[in-house]
Amino acid sequence: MMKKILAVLSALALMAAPMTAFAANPITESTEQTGDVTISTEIAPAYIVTIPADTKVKFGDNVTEFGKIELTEARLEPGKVVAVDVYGDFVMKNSADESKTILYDVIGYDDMDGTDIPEYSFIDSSYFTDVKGHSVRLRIEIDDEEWHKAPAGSYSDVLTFLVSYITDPDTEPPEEENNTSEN
Amino acid sequence: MKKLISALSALMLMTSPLSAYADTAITDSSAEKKGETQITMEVAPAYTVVIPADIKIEEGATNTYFGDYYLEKGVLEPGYYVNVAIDGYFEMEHSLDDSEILPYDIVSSDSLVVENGENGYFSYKDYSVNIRRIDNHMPMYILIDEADWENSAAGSYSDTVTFYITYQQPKDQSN
Repeated sequence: MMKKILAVLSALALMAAPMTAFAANPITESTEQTGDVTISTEIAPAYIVTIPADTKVKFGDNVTEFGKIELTEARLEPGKVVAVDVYGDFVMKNSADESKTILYDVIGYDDMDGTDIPEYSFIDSSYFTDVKGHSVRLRIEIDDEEWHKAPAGSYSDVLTFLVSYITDPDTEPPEEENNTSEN
Repeated sequence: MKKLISALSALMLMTSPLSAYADTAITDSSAEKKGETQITMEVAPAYTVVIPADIKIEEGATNTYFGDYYLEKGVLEPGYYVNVAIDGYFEMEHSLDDSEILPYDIVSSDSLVVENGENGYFSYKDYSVNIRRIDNHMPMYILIDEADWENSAAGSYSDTVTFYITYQQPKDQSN
């Protein structure tokens, strides 16, 4: 291992002759030498986000609980948050005839920490947080009109939960209209 | 400083205007004389101390070997030592937010410096070490609590400590 050397050297002084050699860096009790050493480390960011499991909606229900999104584990850098976006058509399609559809919405509500926040739709909003253990409940909403017009059959849709590690939007200057929800 | 020994007698040759006399003159005709000349030599104290280089600690490590310091070369007066002390806050600061800190300690085994030491550790926050023997290595370790790792935000941390090397005569060694 390469090491830093503090060297304080002086020449031998021979006094036998009238000529005397003096050390270039004489050492006395008051002489002090110093050396700086840097100690560092790096902690990698890490997080675990839990998303809802597959859910079956009961026919005719306007509101169906859909589990929650939770930041289960988090070690983030200062000023960073974990954001969750939900992507999909938000349209359940009939397995026999894709032209037959049921529109639905995914609503985020009840942050479970007592914070009173407006509910928001994941069609045009995101969830973000930097707090380990923080979560948002989800529910699926379907209007009566959608149920009434839907022929019988099996319907389904797939939602993609996209998790990203970003700079906290609250600390960034606002851009053009962006319906994001705070948590 | 040389002593001048003058060897003068009543017999002085005046025939020549030029006379030369040595500082210490001993001739065949003079009674035995003794002359003493003192030869002295002074060796200035000198030392070379090797200290560790910069170090990067692996994430999560609670005990990291930091390196040794030792007296690589040394010409010391009797009773004198080279004292090694470390100064610093012993806290690594986050590069983006200096309110985020990761505390640490630098220690060495006390059995290396204390007779009958119990193989415990002493901290350089509280102690400095006197060294005198050449090539007697003093290993150091950086300790970080597991809880401090767990409570730390992600990112880069660093700190700088200063090694102070002084040449001194401990008070209990003074004459």
